[in-house]
Formats: sequence, structure tokens, C-alpha cells
Amino acid sequence: MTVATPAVSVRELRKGFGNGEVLAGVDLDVPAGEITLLMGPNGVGKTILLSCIAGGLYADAGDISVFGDSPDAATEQLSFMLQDAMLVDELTGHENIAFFRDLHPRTTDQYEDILATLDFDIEALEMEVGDYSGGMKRKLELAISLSVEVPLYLLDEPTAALDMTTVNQLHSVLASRREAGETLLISSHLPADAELADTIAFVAENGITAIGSPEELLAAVPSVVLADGPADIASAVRDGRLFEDKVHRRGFLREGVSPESVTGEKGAAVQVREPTYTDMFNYYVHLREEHDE
Amino acid sequence: MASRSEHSQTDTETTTHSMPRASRWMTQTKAFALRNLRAMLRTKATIIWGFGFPAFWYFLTSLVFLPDSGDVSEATTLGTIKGSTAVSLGLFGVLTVTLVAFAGGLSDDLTAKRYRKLRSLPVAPSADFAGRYLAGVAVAAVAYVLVLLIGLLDGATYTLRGPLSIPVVIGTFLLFSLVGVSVAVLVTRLVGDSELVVGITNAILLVSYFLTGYNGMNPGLLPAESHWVINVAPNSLAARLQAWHMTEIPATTPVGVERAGLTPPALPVSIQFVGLLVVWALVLGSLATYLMDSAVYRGEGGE
Repeated sequence: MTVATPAVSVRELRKGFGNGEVLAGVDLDVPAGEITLLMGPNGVGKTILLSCIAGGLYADAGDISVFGDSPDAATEQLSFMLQDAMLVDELTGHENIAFFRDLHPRTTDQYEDILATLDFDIEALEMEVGDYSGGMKRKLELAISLSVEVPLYLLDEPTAALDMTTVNQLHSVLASRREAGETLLISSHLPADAELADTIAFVAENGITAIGSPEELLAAVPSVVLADGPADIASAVRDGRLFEDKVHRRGFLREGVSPESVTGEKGAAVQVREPTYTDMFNYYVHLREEHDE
Repeated sequence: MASRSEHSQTDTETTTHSMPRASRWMTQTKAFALRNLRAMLRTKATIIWGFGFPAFWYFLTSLVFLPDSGDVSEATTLGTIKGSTAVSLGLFGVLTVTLVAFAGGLSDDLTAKRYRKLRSLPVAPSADFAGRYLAGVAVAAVAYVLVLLIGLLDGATYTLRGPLSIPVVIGTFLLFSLVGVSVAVLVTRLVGDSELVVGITNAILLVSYFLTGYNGMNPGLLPAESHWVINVAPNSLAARLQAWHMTEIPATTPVGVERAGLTPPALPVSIQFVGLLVVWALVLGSLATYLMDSAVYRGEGGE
């Protein structure tokens, strides 16, 4: 059996700034022709990792290989979308596009098609970007980055500030890139992005804590205990850790506890069900990380 | 650890998408020039401080400090004095744009982490610097001409000394602009905080103006033993060179008077002084180009 060479290979990557080390020995392989998702909470270094792979930052130690080259030598092989750090507010959308078009020799004129797919009003390209909403800026950053024809796309939180309809449209654009054989490495907070991924790597403060296909990772997540009312479910969930939203409190079913014993309380609106991608995010980002520590 | 340099770009120019190196450099330079030109012209601070303030200062100077025509010595005329004052404040506007506005733009890009994206692109750092310089020159030219025009409306007279005066005036303008943007890169590199960058470049602008006797237009403000400074410092050197080539101001103090016009010291009219400005521009320009590559690109500027 032959093992395909990864498009991106990261080994023992270390990167720090004046206030400490952000990446402390990260290892990651990004399979060619697939979509790999980096998921993790704010501040764990997902953007720094992407920036190092893109050549926007230099590693303090470790190795990064992009199609067998250093990031510096691979700048024409990749396109990097960096949220909130590309556009100049005083320039119109068209002018921002023109600037980046002149800097990358593989830029095409696909930006209009991409913007149309993302429901961006093309006439707004005549407006200064300072007048754009956060979602409009994200769409423009995406259009600029995806209109470059390269085998590798590095996208930093491309779905942040987008509504769910646009997220789905973006997913179809990214899926078509994968069909064309291109490689995508994407950072995200949005559990819905997991549907798109071939591989998910969960990033925590101590590096990549879990990696695998969404199905594999989801299968390893315990059942979820969901409470609607005042029922006390803390004793039934792992570590007593509850995650709350507007309607529910939820936790992961403790080992050795049967679902029936949890839902059997009279008058309590408690259910046990299979985990969703949101639960998977909570499990690997919050619960597993605490265990690993 | 791999790092970017001008050479690394050459190495990657082997794809079917490649274009001649010079052509790509020109395209990138144009991109940076247009981007920064547009951004500067749409920034209120540039309009107010780069265009408005030098013009206002000229008005104020003309109204309050310049003598009446009856009080002007025989060695010169009020029109000539107004002309040299306009040249001096025009170059003050040039330095406002090329130093303060330029540093503000570069500092904004660094602070906003835009260089994380720019470093990921096959960009030549020298094209970045050249493009920013051209944008600065274009905006500075507007600031400069504006003050000269206001001076003209106020009665300033401009007279070219001869055919050589045209290249000297244009050359000193370009060289002085290069000095301004180079110092801007230097300050931006040394000072990380964008607010501090604006404050320090403003301080350099004002201190250089006053310490050289209003860009060399009022040498009497300096003690005699310091007069040499105004024919050496790039701001007053450029202003005095231009004032001589664009007005009928005398180059030396007429016999029988202690002081007249812009003398003593004698105006820097010889070719050696043009050479001195070239040296200033080349030394600082080379340093700035080196810093753009080594500090901003390879050195992770803004981090």
C-alpha cells in the first residue's frame, strides 16, 4: 500500500511572541485533495498556524513543508485568506481586488462568480470597504482568495460573520474546489463546517488534541444528556460539566450510567440522545482538553 | 528557517504563469502605488495636515511675519521673499506627506497584521517600497504645488535661473521625498506603536523645520557657528537649493550689509550641494529598502 504524500506537513512547530509561546510543538499532516478543518477555541493559535504554513509568519522551530517546499518557496502554490487583515477600508471593493490581483500571478477573474454565489451585491464593489458589514468583508476576502488558481487554499475562519444560507453556499464552492483536486485547510469555530470536512483536527493550547474524519470523531463522543427544566443532571454527566444554551443544559453521559436511569425521573424533561457536531466541538475542545491536561 | 528575500522570488518564477521579472516588479510597484495613493487621498489627516496646514501656514507667515514692501532691503523684493517662503513651506508639505502620512500608512498595515497576508504572496519587498514611494511623491507634489500656487496668488514671484534649474528643482523634490519616506520606514521599524509613529514623525517634521531656521529661510535664528547646518540638513538644503533656482534671491550677502535674504551663509548653489542631497537620499533610501526586506518582510514586521 502506498501512502499519499500530504500537501502540507508540519513537524514540531513552535511559534511564540513577546508574551509567550502560542504553538508549542504542533504536528499536522494535511492530505492532498481534501478539506481539513482546524477547530478550536479562540486564542489557541489556529490563525498563527495557518500564517506559518502560508509564509506570513516564520516558525521559531520545527519544519513546515508545502508540496515539499518551504512556505517561502511555495507562495505561488497557495492562497491565504486572513480574516480582517487583508482589506483597506479607504479603498472600494474593486480597488482591493485589483491590488491583490496584481500581487499574485495566478489570479483569475472568477471573483464575480464567487461573489454572486455568495449573494454579494456586485454594485457594492463601488463602495468603500469601510462601509461594508462584517459579512460583506468576509465575502470579499473569500472572493479575492478563491479567485487565485492554486492547489492549496488556507482559509482563516471563512464562515465567521456569515449567515447560514451563505455558509451553505460557501460550502458548495469549497466542495467543488475539492472535487477539482485542490487542497483546503480551514480554521473554524462553526460546528456546521464539520459537515464539509474530510478531516478535522481539534486544536487546543497543548497542540492538536484529536484528529480524524468527522464520522470517526463523532462516533467517539459519548451520548448527550439534555435537560429542559430544573432537573439536576450534573451527577449523570462527565466531570459534572454542563454546557448551557438559551433552552437546554447538556452534558456528556458519564461512563457506567445507563440512559434509562437518567431519563426516568418523574416530571423531569430529560433526554439522552446521540451527539451532534456542536456536541462534538464541546467534547473535544472543552472536555477532552481538560482531561488531557 | 527559510526566509524571504529578493532572490526567493526569482526562484519561484518558473511556472507557466510566470512573467518577466521586471514586468512583475513593475506590476507590483503599480499595485502598491495605486493602493497607497488612493488610501492617502481619502484619509482626512492627509488632506488637513498635508494640504491644508502648509497652505494655512504660508498665509499666516505672509500675513504676520513677512515685511511690507517698503521695509524690504534693496538686495531683494517682497515677491522674491514670498517666493522663497512658499518654496520652504511647500517642502514642509512634502515632508508632511512623505514622512508623517507615509509612516502612518505603513504603520497601519503593520498594526493591522496585513503583512501576514502580504508575506504569503510572491511580493518583492523593493516593489512594496517603490510603490509606496511613488504614491508619496504624487501626493507630496499636490501639497507642494498647492503652496506655490497660493504664494503666486499672494504676489510671490518665481524665476528659473536657467535650463538646468528644471532638473535641479524636480530632482531635489524627488530626492527630498525619498529622504522623507526613508526616514518614515526607519521610524516605523524602530517604533512599533502606530500612534507613537505618528507622534514621532510629527516631532521630526517640526523639530527639523525649526532647528534649521524655518527650512533654512531664516538663518539668523541660528547662532553663526551653526550656520553650516542649514546647508547640510536635507530639509533646509533642499529648500535653499530650490529657492535659489526658482527665485531671484541672491546667493551671497551683498557687500556693505550684514545680512540679506537667506544669507549668510551663502546659498548652496554649487553642484556639490546637489551631490550632497543625492548622498542623503541614496544612503537613507538604501537603508529603507534594506529595512523593508530584512525587517518588514523577513523580520516579521508588525509582530
